[in-house]
This record gives sequence, structure tokens and C-alpha cells, in this order.
Amino acid sequence: MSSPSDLVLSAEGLQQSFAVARSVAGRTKGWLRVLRGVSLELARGEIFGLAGESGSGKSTLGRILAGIDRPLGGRLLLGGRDVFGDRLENSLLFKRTVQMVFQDPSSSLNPRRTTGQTLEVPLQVLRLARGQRSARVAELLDLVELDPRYALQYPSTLSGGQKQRVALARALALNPQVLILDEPTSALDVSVQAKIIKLLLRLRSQLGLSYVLISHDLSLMRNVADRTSVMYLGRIVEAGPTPRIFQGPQHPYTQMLLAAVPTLTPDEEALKPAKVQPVGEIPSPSRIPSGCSFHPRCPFAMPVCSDQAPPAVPKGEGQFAECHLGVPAGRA
Amino acid sequence: MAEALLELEGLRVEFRGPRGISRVLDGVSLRVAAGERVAVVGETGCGKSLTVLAILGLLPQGARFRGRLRLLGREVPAAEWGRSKRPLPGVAMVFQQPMSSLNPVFTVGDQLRAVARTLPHLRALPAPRLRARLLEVLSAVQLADGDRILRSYPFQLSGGMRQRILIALALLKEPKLLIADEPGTALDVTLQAEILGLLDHLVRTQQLALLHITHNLGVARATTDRVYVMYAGSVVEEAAAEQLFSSPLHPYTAGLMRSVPRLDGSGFGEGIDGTLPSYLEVDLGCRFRQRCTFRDSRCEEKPELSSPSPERRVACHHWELVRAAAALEERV
Amino acid sequence: MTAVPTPRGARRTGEHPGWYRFRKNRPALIGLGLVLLIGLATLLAPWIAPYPHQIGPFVNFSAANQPPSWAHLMGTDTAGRDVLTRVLFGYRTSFLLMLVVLGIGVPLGVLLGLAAGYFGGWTEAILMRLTDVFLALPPLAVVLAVTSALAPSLGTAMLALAALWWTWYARLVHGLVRSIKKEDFILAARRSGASTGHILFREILPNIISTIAVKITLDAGFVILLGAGLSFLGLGARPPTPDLGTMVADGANYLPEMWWEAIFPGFAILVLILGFNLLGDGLRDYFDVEVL
Ligand SMILES: Nc1ncnc2c1ncn2[C@@H]1O[C@H](COP(=O)(O)OP(=O)(O)OP(=O)(O)O)[C@@H](O)[C@H]1O
Ligand SMILES: Nc1ncnc2c1ncn2[C@@H]1O[C@H](COP(=O)(O)OP(=O)(O)O)[C@@H](O)[C@H]1O
Ligand SMILES: [Mg+2]
Ligand SMILES: [Mg+2]
Repeated sequence: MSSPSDLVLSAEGLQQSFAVARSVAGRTKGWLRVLRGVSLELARGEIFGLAGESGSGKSTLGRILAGIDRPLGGRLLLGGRDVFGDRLENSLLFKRTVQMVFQDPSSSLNPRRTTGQTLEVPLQVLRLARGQRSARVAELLDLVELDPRYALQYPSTLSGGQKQRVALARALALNPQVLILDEPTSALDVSVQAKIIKLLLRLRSQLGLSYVLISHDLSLMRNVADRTSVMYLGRIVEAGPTPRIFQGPQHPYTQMLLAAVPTLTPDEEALKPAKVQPVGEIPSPSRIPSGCSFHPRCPFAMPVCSDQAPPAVPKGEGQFAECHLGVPAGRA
Repeated sequence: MAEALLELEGLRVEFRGPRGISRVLDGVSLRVAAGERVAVVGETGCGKSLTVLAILGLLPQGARFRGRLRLLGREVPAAEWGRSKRPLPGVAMVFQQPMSSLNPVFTVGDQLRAVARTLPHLRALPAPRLRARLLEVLSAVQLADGDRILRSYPFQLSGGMRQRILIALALLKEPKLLIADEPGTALDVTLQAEILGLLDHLVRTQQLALLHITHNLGVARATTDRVYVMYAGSVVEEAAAEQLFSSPLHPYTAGLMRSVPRLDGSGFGEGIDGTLPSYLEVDLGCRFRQRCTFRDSRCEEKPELSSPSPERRVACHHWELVRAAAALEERV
Repeated sequence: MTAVPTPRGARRTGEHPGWYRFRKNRPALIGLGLVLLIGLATLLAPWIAPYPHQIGPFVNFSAANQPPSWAHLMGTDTAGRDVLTRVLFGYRTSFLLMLVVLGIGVPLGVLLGLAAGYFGGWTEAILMRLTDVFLALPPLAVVLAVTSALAPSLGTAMLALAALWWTWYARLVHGLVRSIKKEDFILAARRSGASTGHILFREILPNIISTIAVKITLDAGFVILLGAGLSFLGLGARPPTPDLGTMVADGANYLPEMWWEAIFPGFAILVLILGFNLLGDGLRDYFDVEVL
């Protein structure tokens, strides 16, 4: 697919679980198995989309990719080095390569610090002199299309879109190559979302960035991601080039998600798989169904589905789906 | 048009604050016919919730309001809505924060009964009959196994079930009009599709009217007959859903629609520049003009709602131009 | 502190509505007025007190026990000293006590609370167990035990109170830090390469300082009351240091005939405490914070 030199970040078999402490004594009552073997490769300059219902483990995966949390199993590879194995996740090298932008810009900016003060934090790490720092703050604000006077303003005086721009500028301050974007626009109005996404696209080509874009908005994904992966209960159940995922979704879960997308025109309506109606809800990761974890909600479930986990079946052109149906019933 | 169930006319709401008076709602009028599904859309802070709160008598402390409200043809005196704190008969609100709107320490049955005891038509009902009624509303929201649900605590139920219970709570009031105000953060598409399906089912089976407040244009299109578009405290456009989405007449509506990414991958527009104007400033012109690409000298005068066709209203001096521009765009 | 100049624009627009909101709170304004007035009078005591030379070892039995008059607005005590003068200087002792107790207790408690809340683990377990032990002890009993074991003096009383007081702040700050450290902005700062010191003092502390300020204001009155109580029991300030608690204790022997000797100092304590409490309540409403 992509030559090794094109890879900026890759993950192999990532696992993550959280202990459920229910009793008063705090004893562990069980485990939430949130990631169950997730592998992915992020190529230079690519937008890697990650979709799925809430609770499917997208943010957990994002935090591991950004070096925030250690996984319980699997590896994260950066330039041939095992990030967690070599304890690089808190190194300046890693922070200068991978940065994260959070979902809610109101909580990711300190209310008691001005934009300038917030942007100065990463610059202090670079040991820039004072004058250089102010210049760089202005440069960063310019990069995200904010007037330099915003350096003196507190977050409470900024709109949601402006806050997200500041958060983006902070993430760019260390000149990273990869941004992990966890639902960067889901707290914003659609007119503001459009502007932020256009900005992200411009920055990608201008600075040669790669993105992992986490979003549950499939229409957005369709328009910006180069490749799309669909997560369900801690596994990537289908992945491939975006047009293929949307035009020929192979996994019933992908079809269900697509069927639920609210659309604006009859043309778009016609693109939705008609045979799969959204039913049920994602189960808790503490009780993962046996076999194929999607089988309780799957309209095409067969006996084998509750017994055996399906293998990843290649569908050509880099698309694969983890489903027992060799060729699931397609679209209407 | 069918008989009007609810008619709100010229609602003005203002707040006195340290920096002056903020005049938020500037004459909002809307109308819901019996059994009709109506949506109100618009970006954050445009006054959607305040409109609904006024109808429900729940305006915040310190709000001053003016306007007329008619329910089933009867004029409601100002003391019975706005800030009355008493619910209007026949109108019920569906809360959409399934996590926070239910009390975790009481069973669902206890909470339904507690609400029933506040309602005149259920207060005197003997226990077995009340129980029968509770099971009835649970089955109306398509929750099978009502007995078990009544005995469950909220944490034992999934998010979708909790949302259904909140709808059941509203149905206990035997409303003619259901008001659903969507929370700021988006629900999962699958859950959203499910709840929208349920609301639709209720409208048809229980002869309810629905007033749906949402950010999401797709949701508005999917579930409603008529749509009001609000901007900065006024209704700027009103039309049947299909009409509105096939040919928006207000530049704001058009801009919003261009901002929405399409499922067919045809991209999306640049969004809308700028932010909502401050409600503190008295503005005699069109409130959208600072962000409008059609702006000219006529916009210094506030446009009235005009009717380009029966059943359709728009508050813009340039709606013909907007329509022509959209048609041109279509052809290109 | 940083290269970015003071955010003047933001301040200016932020200040007016803030003051407006505070100003609308009448009781808080009265509290502020009382505290400022008493504070100023205390500072200027040597110049505005009618008989400043009567502080220290001074007796004039010929003028003893005189009721309030134009020469002695609050009368004189059994040693013939002007009560008003001693009240003004007594306030100095009260403020000194408060400043020392809170000046030691607050920074200590805040530092330990920050550390416990932020680092968690063993640091947290040990520090919080320690505060639990301290908080389980009745404060007055501890101070009584300490001061009577050591030589009873103002210094001992202050140290004993300070040794107790940090625990309240450690507990308060610990709770605040535990919730704030989960915020995304802390995480984001860490991922930007910020040092632990930066996170604790530049990111977290500014967010909790208003709660601490409210607690300090509410506590100030309490510390003063406890100090006066200790002096009243003879375990705090020793004569001839002018001290309101001592004055009440001494004056109480001559009640009700020579009422002014106990009532005026007692009233003085009351007014100062009232001022601090009104101000503290006002600040609490103003910052909209919860304080134990
Ligand atoms: N209690 C209040 N005091 C002063 N202003 C208020 C108050 N409540 C609301 N407002 C103002 O009214 C405006 C409209 O608020 P409202 O909650 O109706 O917005 P909305 O359209 O429901 O937004 P959202 O989509 O975010 O829910 C807000 O921008 C705010 O400035
Ligand atoms: N720190 C944590 N402790 C316990 N459970 C967690 C933690 N983080 C995430 N989870 C759980 O892991 C699951 C996946 O969460 P998340 O990765 O946030 O999903 P998504 O981002 O796809 O909505 C959820 O059930 C969530 O409750
Ligand atoms: Mg998430
Ligand atoms: Mg709202």
C-alpha cells in the first residue's frame, strides 16, 4: 500500500482495558475491554478517518496514538522505534512529532490564561528567547487565521471556533508531523465546522501534516478522509479507501451506520443502504458478545457468528471487513 | 392549513445586565398545527431554547418578555406562560440528557409515579390503574417488558432506553404538543435515528404535534413538515421542509446548507464568516448583514418577513437574488 | 512573568461588570468597608489613638475605671488606661495572630494539597491520612494542650494554630486539584512539554486561587476569635501586650458595674469578625465557589 518510508506512525495489536471497581473496597469487579487488537498505519500526508458509535473506543485509541495513555498490549511504532517499549511517549522527540487536538475547545484551554500565555508553553520548551517567542505566537495565530491581537484575550472572550483555532495553534507550536484530532468539530456549529475543516485541509498541504481524524460524522468523513476505518467494540471491523467504504460498505455495521446518517437531499438519501435499519445499541465493553461482537445487532447473523470471531477478509484495493458473510447483502 | 394548536406571536425576551440590556428575542412568531411536525434550526445562541422556555413558562430569572401566546385558539394570559413556572396544559417537554435527567437512586417506576402524582388527571388514580397506565406509556415508547423496566434503576438501562423513558415521562402528561430540545452535543447517529423514528411513530399513533429544536439540518429534514430557521433572535425563514432544503431563500439558510458536508462526497462550502452579533447593541438593520455576501445599503433597514409564496416566509431584502444565485450554482 | 504583555483590553472589559456584581451585594460591601476601616485604624493606631503612650507598662490608678466620656470615649480600665487606645492596639495583636497563623498555615496547606492532589499515589495517601488525623482532633483542645505544655504565650498559640490550620487548606486544595487535573487543558499543557512546576503553579493554582481567597476571608474571623478565646483563657497574649481577648477576660471581672471594660473590646472583636464573614460570603457569591 505505502512504502515503509512513507509511514509516519503505526500501531500493532493495541489492547487497552480498564478495571471496573464496583465494591466499596475498590476491588476489581471486572474489566472493560476497550481496545481488542487494533492495528493501523498512518502514511505521510494522509488523513486517516476513524468512525464508530460512542463507546467503541475511538478516543481511547486516539489517546494511545498521542502518547497520553500506555496500552496494555501491542506496540506503537514511530520511525522504527517502539514508543512505549522505549519509553519515548513523554520525550520531547515524541511530543515534537505527534500532537493532539481535543473535542471540546472550552475545556482544552485554561480559562485563566490568555491565548498568548497558552501558546507560550510549548515555545518555552524549545528554549526560544522572549522576543522570538512573541514573534512565534503571532506566527502561530496567523497560521490558524486569527488576528495577533487575540494573544491578549482570555478563552471566555472567544467563540467556540476561535477557541478551537487556538487549540490547533498550540498543537502546531512544536512543528509536529502528526495531529490526532478527536472530534475536533463536534462541539461547533456546522458553519464553523466548515471553516475549521477547510483550515485543517489547508494546513495539511501547507505543512505536510498527517491526521488521524476521529469523528462520528460519516458525511464529514466521506469528504475529508483518505482512508476510513470503522470501529466497533474495540476493533476496526472495516477499513479501506474512503470512496470504497462509502460506495461498497461490506460490513453490516458500516451499512447500519450509513443508513442512520441524516441527509439534506434525496440524492444523498439514495446512497444509503436501505436494507439495514439501525437497531439496538452498542453493548458495554464489560460484556462483549461472543464470536463476532456485532452479531446481536446484525440483521444477517448466522449461527457461526456467535461462535467464532470472523477473520479480516480482504475485499481488494486495501479494503477489508471482519465479517463471516463473504459477500454481505449489498445496497438496495 | 390545519387548526392551529399553538401560536406564538411577536415574542420578545430581554435581559438586564451589567453592560446594559441584551435584547435577545426580537419578535419571534411561530405556529404549530395539530399533529404537525415542526423544526426550529439555527446556530448556537440564536435563541431557540429561550423560545421554547418561554412557551413552557421556564424563562430564566431576570428575563423580561412580551408577546402573545394562543393555545388551541385560547389566548394564554401573560401570567400563565413566560415565567409562570407552571406547565401549560397539553404541552410537554422531552429532556434529552438521558444521563442527568433521571435520578440514579430511584427506580424508573418510582420516578414515573412521582410525576404522575403531580398531574391532576392521574393523581387520584388507584395504584393498579396507575400501574396499567404506566405500562401503557412504556409500550407507547416501544419498551417491551414494562414490568422489569418499572423495577429497574436508570443505571441498569442503556442510553436509548433511558431516552425512551424520558419520552414516556412526557407522554404521561397526555400532551397535544411534544417539545424536544436537542442537547448541544450530538447524539450518536444510530441512537438519534432510533429516537427520531420513535417520535415520528408517536406523532402518527398518538395524534401529537412535535416541535423539534435542533442544530442538525439533516435531522430537521428527516422528521418535520415545516422548518423555522432562526438567526440572532429572529425567525429569518419559514418553509415546508422539502421546499426549504431544495431552495433556501435566506442567505443564512443557504450558507448553513452549503456548510453541511454531503454524503455523496461532493464537498462542502466555506462556512459562514464571522459570529453572531452581540445582543447588547441596538441594531436597526438586518442582523445578518455583517456576515452576508448579498449585503448592500438596503440592509441597513431591518427586513420584514415577506411571503414569496403562500406557506413560505423569508426576512431578506434580497431573497430573489439568493434564489437566482442558487439556481445558477446548480447549473454549473 | 511572561513575554506577553498584560492583557489590558481583556481586563478593562472584564473589570467593570465584576465590580458591578460585587457592588450590588450590599452585605459584602459593608464587610469590605468594616475590614478596610478597622485595618486602616490599626495601621494608624500610633497616630490616631488618643493615648498611645499608655501602651506597655503603664498605670495611672487615679484615672482608673472611668466610664465613657469625651476624654475617654470607651472609658478607662482598672489600671487607668484608655480602653479605646487599647482596643486599637488590641486589633494589632489580632491581625498579627491572623497573619501569622494563616501566613504559615495557608501556604503550607496549599503546597501539600497541590502535591497530594496532583501526584496521587503514595504522596496522596500519606498526606491525606495525616490531614485526617489532624482534622479529627478538636482544635481548641490541641491548642490548649500545646500551649499549656509549652509556655503559654502569643507565639506558642500562633504556632499551635498554624500547625492545625494547614490541614483545612490541604484538604480543600486537594479536592480542587483532583478535579481540575482531569481537565483537558492540563493534559494539553503536559503534552506541550510543560514542567510539573508550571502545571501546578501556572495552570492549576490560578484556577483555585479564588476559592482559597474566599476560604481565607471566612477563616480570618475564626482565627481571630480563637486567638481571643485563648487569650481569654490566659493561654495567648500575655500582659501587658494589648489584646482584645485578655481585655474581655479582665473586664469580665468587673461586670456589670464597669461594663465598658469588657463590652467594648468584645464588641470590637465581634465587628471585625462580622466584617470578615460578610466579605467572605460576598466573595463566595461573587466567585460562585463552594467552600467547606
Ligand atoms: N439567563 C440569561 N441571561 C442573559 N442572557 C441569556 C440568558 N439565557 C440566555 N441568554 C442569551 O440568549 C441567547 C440565546 O440563548 P438560547 O439558549 O436560546 O440559545 P440556543 O439557540 O438554544 O442555543 P443552543 O443551540 O446552544 O442550545 C444566548 O446567546 C444568551 O446570550
Ligand atoms: N479512563 C477510563 N476508565 C474507565 N473506562 C474508560 C476510560 N476511558 C474510556 N473508558 C471506557 O471505554 C469505552 C470506550 O470509550 P472511548 O474510547 O471514549 O469511546 P469513543 O471515543 O469511541 O466514544 C467506554 O465504554 C468508556 O466508558
Ligand atoms: Mg470519544
Ligand atoms: Mg439550546
